[in-house]
Amino acid sequence: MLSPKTKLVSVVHTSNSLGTINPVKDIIRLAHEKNIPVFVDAAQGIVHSTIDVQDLDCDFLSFSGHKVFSPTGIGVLYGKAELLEAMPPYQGGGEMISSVKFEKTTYNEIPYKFEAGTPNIADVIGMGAGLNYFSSIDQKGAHAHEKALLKYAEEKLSAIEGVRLIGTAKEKASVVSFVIDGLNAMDVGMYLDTLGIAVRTGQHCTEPVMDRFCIPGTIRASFLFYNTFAEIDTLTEGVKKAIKLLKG
Amino acid sequence: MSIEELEKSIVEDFELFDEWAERYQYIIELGQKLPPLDDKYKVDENKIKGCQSSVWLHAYSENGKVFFEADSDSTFVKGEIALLINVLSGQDPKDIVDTDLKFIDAIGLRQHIAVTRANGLASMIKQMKLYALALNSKQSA
Repeated sequence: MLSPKTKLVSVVHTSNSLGTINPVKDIIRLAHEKNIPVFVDAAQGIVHSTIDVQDLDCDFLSFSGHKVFSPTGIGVLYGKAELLEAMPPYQGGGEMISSVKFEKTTYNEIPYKFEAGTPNIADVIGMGAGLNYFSSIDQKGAHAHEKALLKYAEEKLSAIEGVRLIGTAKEKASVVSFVIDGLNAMDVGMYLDTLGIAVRTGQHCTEPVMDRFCIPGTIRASFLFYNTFAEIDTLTEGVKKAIKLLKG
Repeated sequence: MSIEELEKSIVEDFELFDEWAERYQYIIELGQKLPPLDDKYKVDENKIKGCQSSVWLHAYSENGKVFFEADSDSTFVKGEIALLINVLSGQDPKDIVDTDLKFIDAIGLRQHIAVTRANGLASMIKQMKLYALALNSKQSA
């Protein structure tokens, strides 16, 4: 894939449908050997891993605010200064210009040159609070707890007859995607809804992944540090009840 | 019975259940009882594809009325199909085009299906109405 025609490598840090954590550091190294910049989509990874952009040496990285206890509709785009400085603004408007003359318009410094017009001030403050909160918790402890929850959930769910886990990579975020023989994922999800259990169902906007596994969709539960082992027991019981009801 | 009368009887059936969980189970039971669609109709041109489930819808007319048969890989969607067929199949095409199917909101179907689980109920109704519209214009032509 890394050919002379490759302009940019764009890769997800963590798969939303399977939980797989990609070896992004290796990918970045290989791309950089050929002078290809790398963009990392960390929307799913940001909350489950400790990400250090300098250690990864990625050129760009983005994530959504709502994945880290912040408002919706706002996010972060990180870029290396020299790349951002070389890039032209994509949009014009207030605050992105430092001087306007007939002969020449000078753009403001980064990041302002990319922030045309009146910004979404309230959500920026909201995201600041969200990120401060996330930085204040013991992330190592949180991730260890999530790992333990994942292991427990995988054990409990795979012990149920007819349940098959999809995505069993060695490096995984605390996301468990599964299918149940003969059952439609949405039917199961809607039943779990009635029990107050929140899961996501369907193709998770990753149809090629679903095609790769020859499945129409999965049921996906994801865990964070505030989840408990008892909640996984509730999920497991819910899945058993769903099978009983739906298989009639 | 007219579409409105059939809708009224569905709403009355659902009033027996207080909780959404019971209504969900009832819809699942309806889905489990829906007669399967003949495999020859399970072709791509009859398919309404969605992220969460697929539906095959077959329509035909007889003596000026429109009849529907359908199937899905989701039992819940089959339950919805059973309700729609109950109300719309065998009706006059003009009545199908004109109805706004108030029973769907009355039984709480729309409120209880999360946007992320949008299961093609709207596309199913649209497709049924399109069939009726096509048959209606064919008849009046």
